[in-house]
Order: sequence, then C-alpha cells, then structure tokens
Amino acid sequence: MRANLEGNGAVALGFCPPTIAKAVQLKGIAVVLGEPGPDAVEWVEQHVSAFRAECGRIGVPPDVADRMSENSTWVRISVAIDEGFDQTPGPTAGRRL
Amino acid sequence: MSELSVPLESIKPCLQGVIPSWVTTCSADGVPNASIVSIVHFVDSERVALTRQFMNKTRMNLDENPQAQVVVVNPSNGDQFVLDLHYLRTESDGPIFDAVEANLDAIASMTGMTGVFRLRGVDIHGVLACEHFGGGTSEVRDRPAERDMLPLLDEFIRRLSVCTEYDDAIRVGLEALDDLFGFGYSVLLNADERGDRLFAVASNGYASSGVGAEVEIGYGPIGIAAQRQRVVCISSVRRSRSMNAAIQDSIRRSGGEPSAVEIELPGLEGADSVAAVPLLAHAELTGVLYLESERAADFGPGNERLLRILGGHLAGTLAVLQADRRESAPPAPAPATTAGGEPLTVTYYQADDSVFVDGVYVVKGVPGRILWKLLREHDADGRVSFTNRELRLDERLGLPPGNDNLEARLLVLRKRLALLECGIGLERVGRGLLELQLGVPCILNEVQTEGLMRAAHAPSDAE
Repeated sequence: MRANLEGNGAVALGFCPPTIAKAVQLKGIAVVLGEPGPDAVEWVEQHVSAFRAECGRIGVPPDVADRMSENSTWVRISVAIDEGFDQTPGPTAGRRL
Repeated sequence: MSELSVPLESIKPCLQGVIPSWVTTCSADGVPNASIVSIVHFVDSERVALTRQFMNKTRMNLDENPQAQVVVVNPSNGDQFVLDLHYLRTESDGPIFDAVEANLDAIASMTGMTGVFRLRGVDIHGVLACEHFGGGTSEVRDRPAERDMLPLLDEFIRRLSVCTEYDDAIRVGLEALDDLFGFGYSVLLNADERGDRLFAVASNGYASSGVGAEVEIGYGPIGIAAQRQRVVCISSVRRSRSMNAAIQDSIRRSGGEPSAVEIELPGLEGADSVAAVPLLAHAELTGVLYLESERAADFGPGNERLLRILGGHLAGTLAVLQADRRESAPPAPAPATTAGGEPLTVTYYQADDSVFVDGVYVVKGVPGRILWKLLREHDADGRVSFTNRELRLDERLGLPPGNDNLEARLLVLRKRLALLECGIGLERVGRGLLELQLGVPCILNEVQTEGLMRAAHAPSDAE
C-alpha cells in the first residue's frame, strides 16, 4: 500500500460505521506521507475507542472489535480530497457528494 | 488443490456476509476505487464470487484492469484477511448466481425490499493470494470439520429410522436437531396441495408453537427456499435490517417512495441468523425446515451441505410415513354418550372452511373441513371413532389423490385443539384411527357462502 502511495499518491478512502449500512468514499491525492506523531496516535486511540463502543451497540465484543486494529502498522497520510461519493447500497450509490 | 498460504476453506466464517467487505479496484490510469459489498461468496478453493448490484465504477475498473483486492473479516474474532483477486467473468445465471440470488432475494423479501435488490450478476474472481491482514497470528476457529459430523448424522438417521408414526418422526427429528447439532429453534412446514403456500406443522424451542401458521411461497427465507428449492441462509439478520434502513433512506433521498410492507419473520424475536431448508421427496417440494439462532453466522456456507443432508433424510422419512396407509384393527364401537354441561357453539364458515368455537378461531382450510365433518357425524349419530381411510374417501374434504397431506393436516388439527383446550379433542387411538373427544355438547352453526367458494360446497351426487 505504501509503495502505491509513493507511486502516484492516488487514494480512495471508504467509510462505513458498523451500526448502519451507510457508506461514503473520498478520493484524492496523498500530499503527506510519514510516521504518525503523538497527536495522530492520540486520534487513532480515540477512534479505536469510539469504534469499540459503536461495535458494542450491535453486540460485537470489545476484544473482537479491537482485533480489527491489533498489530496494525500506522502510517500518517494527509490527503487533498478531490471528490466524495455516496456508497450506500441503493439508488443513490455512486452519487457525488 | 489450493496453494494459497491461507486456504479459503479455512476462512469460510469470513465469507458469510456478516461483516461487509471493502473491495478495491483500480482504473487503467491508476485511480483507485473502494466499494463495499455485502457478500464475498465462497465458490471453491481457488475462487470467490462478488455480487454485482450497485457498483458501476467497480465494473468499469474491472473491465479496464482485472486486478482487485478485498478484505474479509471473521465475525467471531475480528481477524481480517486480504485477498488478491483476478477478475475472470460475470455470470448472470447458473448455480453460483442462483445460490447468491436466492439468498439476496430472501433478505430483500424479509426486509420488505423486494425489487430494490437487483442482482445483475456475480463476478467470479480467481484468488491469487490470501493473507492474514494486520500481522499477528490468525485465529480461525471454524465449525467442526464435516467429517466430525458423520457420527452425529449417523445418530440422527438412526433416531428417525425407528419412528413408525408421522407425528413421532417430526417430534424426534426436531428434537434431534437440537440435541445433536445445537439447532435449538426449528419449525417444520408442509407444502400446501395448491402449491402456493406452506403451513407450519410443528416447531421446537419456541414459547408458542405457531402450528397452523401459513407462509406464502416466494416470500421471505422460507418462501424463497421453497420456490427455488435451495437452502437459504441469512448469516446476519441484524445487519440485513440495518441495510434495509439505509436503503430505504437512500430511496427517500432519491425522491422515491420506500416500501411500506415489511414481512415479519416468524418465530424467534432477536434471531440473528436463519436457514430455510427445502424438503424434497420424489423430486417434489414437500415442505421447508426453518431454523433460527440468536447468534450471527450460525448458518452459512460452512454448514449448507449438512443442512441439505438433514433436510433430505427428514423429507424422505416423512414421505414414507405419510404414504403408509395401513390401519390398526378398529376398536369396538364406543357406546354413544351424551356429554353434559354448558354447550359450545361451533361455527363453520364455508367461505374459507374456518371453524370457531365460542367465537375463538380454531382452524381453517382442509383441517377445518375435517373437523366440521367429524362434528356433524357425531351430531347425527353420536359417533366418535373415525378412520383415515374414510376421510380420504370423502370427496367433500377435497383431499387430492396421491400425496394428500392428510397426516400433516390431522396433526395441525389435533395440535390446535389441544392448544386451545376448547372442550373438543381429537386423538390418535391406533394407526389410521381417530377418536373425537367432547367434554360438553356442541351446537353446530354453518354459515353458508354466496361467494366464489359456493361451488365447492354444492351437495355431491352421492347425497
């Protein structure tokens, strides 16, 4: 993944909360690529904690939710967003945001 | 044999659609696209299939560049696996398409979304690599291997083989599904003679039996399994319902009218995975075995074959017992007795053959006609003993020749009467022998119809 980013920088990011089937995709170019600083690590920890809580709402145990990010290698990427799309299944799928 | 470092067979729990999967493609000029798919379907040790529903950009990218990548998640432990894919072809018919379509149609029907899920095809991909994602050690914990099921299947078949009565075989079969395989909530439904619906004959594990409930063929997991004659598994009902809510919202935002009808899933409140297994005998649909679990992913590709085998044996056993027309020697006629006490008012409506006792609905259709016949004959001469044979020969009951479902109909009738404790009972007193049991006298009231059903109630020439 890192090699691809360093190649042409093109990024597609998908987001979908565990509790609902709504989804969005953002596309852009990675403009910064590097190791995460302390602030970024704190964001990650907050996000993992919020993800764990959200998973708990649909009965996913905390250890299962945590395992999805366990042993991950974190990379800091700043992306210049060019466009966004609704990815929710249904007639609006693919609609530009 | 697959040479993947992680065999696809070992990650089947990831391929049940409990947690959606992100699939990534790339255009010819290097622009990636991430899209979410509901099911990555296991085809064999080297191939998977992805549903082609709403993903135009994915399709365009695959036409330009057949490489793709998908991440799948094991819902039981959160392990993730990344699959490098090579797009091979799209199938819009055939067994893989039919299997995926049946499952999607069942989900759509169950959530009131029929017509919204339009499966255009299934994209068949070769799997070039399968790796555990995110480092660490993979902890795939699959169900017991199929070979471990052989002793349990052996016991299931043995228990069924010693049953000599239709009713017993159903009870023993449903209890064995619980004892041996942990399928604690089950409903057995029989196909109606008209071929457009199924009716519940027995259940196991529920607070209320649901006997006599009807399901239309073609709707919901049960109706789709019957219509397509395929096992239908929904691994995560909860997620299917959240998908429904999101799609309904999407329809509203696009200016459409969301579906107003949501077909209720019968049975267990809070069921999170369900399976509907068609019962086939003599190349015909005879019924459906419906299973529910409160846990996600209890039913899916990992046990579809087991479910087919269980359904096949159950269907075969029931077909043999249903066809058994032997009767015990008739008992000496019971002396006519007159029950005392406050009389019951029994009302029979010709329009749909429904019977009410003191205003409480008992049963309708063929069981309703049977009950009315028994009560009328008893009213005429005090008779309480009847035989299956005379029911089969009574043309007014409208039983079809051949597979007449009489045993199933009688079972529904007897269970409904027992459940209601309405003062009328019907017991089996021998093979093919029935006894009507009345605790109090009955006042019979027949409501004739002037409608379309009138012809069905015209007196026969024999009368």
